[in-house]
Amino acid sequence: MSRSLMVVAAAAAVMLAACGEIDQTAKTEKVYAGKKDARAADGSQFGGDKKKWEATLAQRSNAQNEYLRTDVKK
Amino acid sequence: MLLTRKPSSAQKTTTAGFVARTNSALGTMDRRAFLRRSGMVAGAGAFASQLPFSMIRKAEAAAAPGTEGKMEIKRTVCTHCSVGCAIDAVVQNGVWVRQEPVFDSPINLGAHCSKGAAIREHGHGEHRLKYPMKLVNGKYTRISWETAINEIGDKLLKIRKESGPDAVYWVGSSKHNNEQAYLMRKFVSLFGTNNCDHQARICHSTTVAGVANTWGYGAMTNSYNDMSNTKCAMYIGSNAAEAHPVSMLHMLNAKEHGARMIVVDPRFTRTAAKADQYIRIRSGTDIPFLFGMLYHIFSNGWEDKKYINDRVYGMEKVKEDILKKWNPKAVEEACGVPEAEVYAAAEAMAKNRPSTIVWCMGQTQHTIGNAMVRASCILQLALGNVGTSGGGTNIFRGHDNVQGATDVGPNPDSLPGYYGLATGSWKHWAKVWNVDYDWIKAQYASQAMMEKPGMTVSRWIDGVLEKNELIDQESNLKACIYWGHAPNSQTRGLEMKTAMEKLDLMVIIDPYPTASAAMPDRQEGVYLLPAATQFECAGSATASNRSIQWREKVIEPLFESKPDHTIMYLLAKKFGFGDQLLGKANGKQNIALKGDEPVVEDILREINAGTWTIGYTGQSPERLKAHMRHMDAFDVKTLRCTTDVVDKETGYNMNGDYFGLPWPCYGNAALKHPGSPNLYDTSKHVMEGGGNFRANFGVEREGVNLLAEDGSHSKGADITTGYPEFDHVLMKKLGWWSELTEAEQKAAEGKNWKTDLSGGIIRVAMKNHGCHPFGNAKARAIVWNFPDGIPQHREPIYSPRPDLVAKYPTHADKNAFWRLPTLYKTVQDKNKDVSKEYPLVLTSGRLVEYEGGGEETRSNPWLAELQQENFVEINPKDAEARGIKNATFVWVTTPTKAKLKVKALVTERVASGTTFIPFHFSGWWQGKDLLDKYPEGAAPIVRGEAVNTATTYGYDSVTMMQETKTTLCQVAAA
Amino acid sequence: MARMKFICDAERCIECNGCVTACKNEHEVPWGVNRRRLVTVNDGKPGERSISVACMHCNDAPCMAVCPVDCFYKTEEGVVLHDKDLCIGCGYCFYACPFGAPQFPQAGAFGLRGKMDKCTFCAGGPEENSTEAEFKKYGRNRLAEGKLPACAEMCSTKALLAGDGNVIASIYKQRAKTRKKGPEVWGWAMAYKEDANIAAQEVKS
Repeated sequence: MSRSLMVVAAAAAVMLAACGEIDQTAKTEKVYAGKKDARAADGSQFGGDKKKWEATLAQRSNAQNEYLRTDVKK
Repeated sequence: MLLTRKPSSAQKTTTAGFVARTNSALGTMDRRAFLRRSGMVAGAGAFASQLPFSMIRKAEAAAAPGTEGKMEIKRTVCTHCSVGCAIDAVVQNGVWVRQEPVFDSPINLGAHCSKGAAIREHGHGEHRLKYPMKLVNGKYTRISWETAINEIGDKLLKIRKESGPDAVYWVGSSKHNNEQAYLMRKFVSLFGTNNCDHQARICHSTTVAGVANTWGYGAMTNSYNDMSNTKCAMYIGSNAAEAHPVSMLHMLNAKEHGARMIVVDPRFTRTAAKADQYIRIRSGTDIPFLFGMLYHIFSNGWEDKKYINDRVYGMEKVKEDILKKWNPKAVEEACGVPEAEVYAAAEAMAKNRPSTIVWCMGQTQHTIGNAMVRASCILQLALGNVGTSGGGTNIFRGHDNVQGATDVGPNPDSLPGYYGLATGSWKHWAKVWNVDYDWIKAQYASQAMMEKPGMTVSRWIDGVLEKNELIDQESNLKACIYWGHAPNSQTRGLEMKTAMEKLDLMVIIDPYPTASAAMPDRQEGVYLLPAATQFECAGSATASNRSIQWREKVIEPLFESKPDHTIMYLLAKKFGFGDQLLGKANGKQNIALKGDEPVVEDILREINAGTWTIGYTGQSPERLKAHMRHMDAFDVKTLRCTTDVVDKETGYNMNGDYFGLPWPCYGNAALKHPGSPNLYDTSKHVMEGGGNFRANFGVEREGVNLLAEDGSHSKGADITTGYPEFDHVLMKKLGWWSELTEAEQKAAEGKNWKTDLSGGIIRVAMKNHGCHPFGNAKARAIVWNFPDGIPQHREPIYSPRPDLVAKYPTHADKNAFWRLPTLYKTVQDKNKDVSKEYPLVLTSGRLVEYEGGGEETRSNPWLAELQQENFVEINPKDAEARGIKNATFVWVTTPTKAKLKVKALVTERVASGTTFIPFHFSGWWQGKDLLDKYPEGAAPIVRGEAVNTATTYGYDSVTMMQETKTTLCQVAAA
Repeated sequence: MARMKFICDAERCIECNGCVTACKNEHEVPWGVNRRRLVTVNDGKPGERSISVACMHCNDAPCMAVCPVDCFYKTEEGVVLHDKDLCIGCGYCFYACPFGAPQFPQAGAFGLRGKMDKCTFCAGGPEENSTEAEFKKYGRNRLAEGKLPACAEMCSTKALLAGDGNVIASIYKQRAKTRKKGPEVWGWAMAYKEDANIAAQEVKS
């Protein structure tokens, strides 16, 4: 058994032991400890232009709504 | 169906890595580097190469600055079914790196099923056949293309010389594009035989024959899109949610807008799960059910009497027959559906018009398939639903180009465009091909053989195995060329293996080795030639709705593969008719060559020049390409472009066109016919895509008028009653001859609208007079030239009901039917009581993740992961009676004595007494994995038992369609 | 812009697995790891319905709450992402997640890709946008390209919707109103709590 799986198994045991004690909707302030990430609009495509990015996404969202093409009043 | 979905695999991924970004800042890899790496993978041991790695190997290092690749978008169309979903392929340095949805497409609006969403794997194809191979001492060995063409050519020429051209059987493909399929028919003709066929035989041959003989053309009358205009849809023998998933987008849209949906099927399919009403019938009893509906329609006077009077022949007699035979009690006895359910379906279809009917293999693949589909047509004719938007018979075809290959491809009984094989048809095509008619005739064994339909793909095995004195040609078959066709989609696998072993020569031309490479126990005499997929060449494909879409070439052919039309040319050259294939004679050449590749656009132009019958004449390459660049110009519900949209590249304005110029698109491109979205629609002018039923069966029968009645005609027609098809005589009689130009008159003299190569007759009839070139007649409720003019229920040859066999027996045996003796009664009588030993009905069908024989999709890890084992669906009651537990192995046996080892899927999806096995699997043979019989590294990831190894005898009485949907089996724990 | 959400319309989902292979294809997810999968109830019986399930990018994401190394973070658009460099593969998040979204490779070889793996809403992860490093660990960053998740964009029947929660709720609402059926949005109460009923009420009104 690989090491990572053993860790998972151990974690499972801990979880069972602590069953019911962890509040899964906890609002505890946790602080992200990892690397910083860039904003979606900050990539090379939009160069930080959030408005343009939002407009592009909004247009893209509408491609999921075929009513815009089938329910056109002619 | 969770049984075969494993959340994770025990197989280890030993390497993984990811390359080739779409962002130019990323490292890139050129095609050569990619192929080199793929080659390395292929060279690894057989086991390692079977591991489903992530598809693209890691780039060794980021490429040196300045070598960033060119990013290109190529527009193509999915090859996995007939819906025709557009795809934008993102290609970098010749490597297909991503795919994006084409929201603009009016057909799929960006949507894909699992197959379409996984299509990019084709651009990598680790499990492909990589180079020509030859079987040497039972092992596949690499050879060069030159050796392959020479050896295969020599062997075929020897067979041709010793046994005649009819000793070779050519199995073509519905996955070829139109140009390749067309060129294949020409190629086979130049070889001198009609022994060719393709998937349509075992797909919708009964539909094409039944529907064309009812009203004119053998095709889906409306479109997937038009289903969004329906008020009620009845699916009978179609599991669209798995077989045509994206079509459901239009149906579910219609349903949301109030349309009713009915599903009639022996299985509670995923399509049924979406229906308002599900009706379970016994497999093979569509006619009792449909006529049971008509019983209520006629009894309640719901039929469209004026429509029937004006546009239908023979309905009175059909009505009499139905009222006499199919009262609710008889219906329930035959198909198991209580009166109330039949009544509800009839009422829904009658009171929610326009209503449409959808059918697929559930209806076509029976010994009485031709009659079943006509029963569906009669229902729609009685309700006046044919020739109207929202109505029609929406016949969903299978492969991406099965409609196109049927229209212009390798059919044993016809030249391209359903011209048939008569002398006149040959002369028409010889002229178009720029090949001397007498030269072609000399290639055939005789003129009689030239005009005699060939054998069908469903029966080629009998062409090998049948006693020579019983077959209707000189020699038995000695060689078989499988050119883009799986063997495991045909029935009687046990006998097929024997036939494969008896042949002198087998050639498999395909992107994958297919089961053909692994099935027979042979030591030699098998060649494998790697063909390119449709993403490695350009060309057009006809979707089920008759719209023709142009695919751009996405990438260069992978490994050593070549496009099918290039292989055809290489073989033709070897056979000595390379020039004839290109139409090179008398200082003229129809089809140019680029290297060894015939120019695809030129092939399409030749199709345009000759295929007048079904209107493949107006779809020039330029018009088709313009449509593909402006998909957003077309309306989703009507498929029409209604504003000025001008293509920059060609200057072509597509205002008025229907998307993909759905055939018939009559006349030459200059006539600018817009294509026909819904066939036989009299509410539109013929130049707007309108029409009426075809006059193809005479003008009168037994004193009854076969032409349309007074006042029934397409909108704006100068002739306001029924009329026959146009020819030079009729044109002259009407005084319209002078409207042809002098050049047209010269070309049209002595011709009819189908053979007038100038298109003048069509132009004048349609444009000047609003008349349909094929005449204006009635549809036929009675197809008197078929074995059962009025569709009759006949029990399957292997029936679970001996009592009903006595009541509804099958046909009498036939001699020399498509060159072969064909048995009905003899086999049925012999197996009258076989259900004692094999009590369960065995039926087959599709899974959404796989297509056809499945080699291609089972080699795609993204799909293969989702369905890892073949299975049999069995009802809990039947399983319990046999001590079978879910997800355990069982043996399925049939009267052929074949046995299949599959997992049991215990489910109420099937009724007690019925079992179901999907047909996409191969690579196991009666419990044994054939992995070591494939060329190294080219076996599909997922292998399993092919249901057709065990299917039984039985063929349609008109088209030789095989019976796959109703046979018998027994299931036992393994 | 409001936050990003997923909706799967069970009236439309035909269990075709298009979303699953779209995801595999776009991110080159290895065999055995399924960022998205289908769940079917009443399989083969009347009432059969399917739902496509992946990380829902919850408001109060339980995975974040239980992570012992705090490798989770939430973007401005409400997308829940994590840092694989930090992840220790402990599996707590898997136990906490009501949707079974976190995936763990069976074999060690998957270390190549980081530890826990899950749907990123096609938003990559904490590496420079659209870089090789980001793709290798997290998959493509479609959001940075102005595109929505591949699964939803390619859904065969447009059952699976992704994007700005308000926009997709209104698409869904229009549909549900037209068919007079199905205002309940599967999974929303669990994932997005406070606005879970809003969509439903809007539909009923």
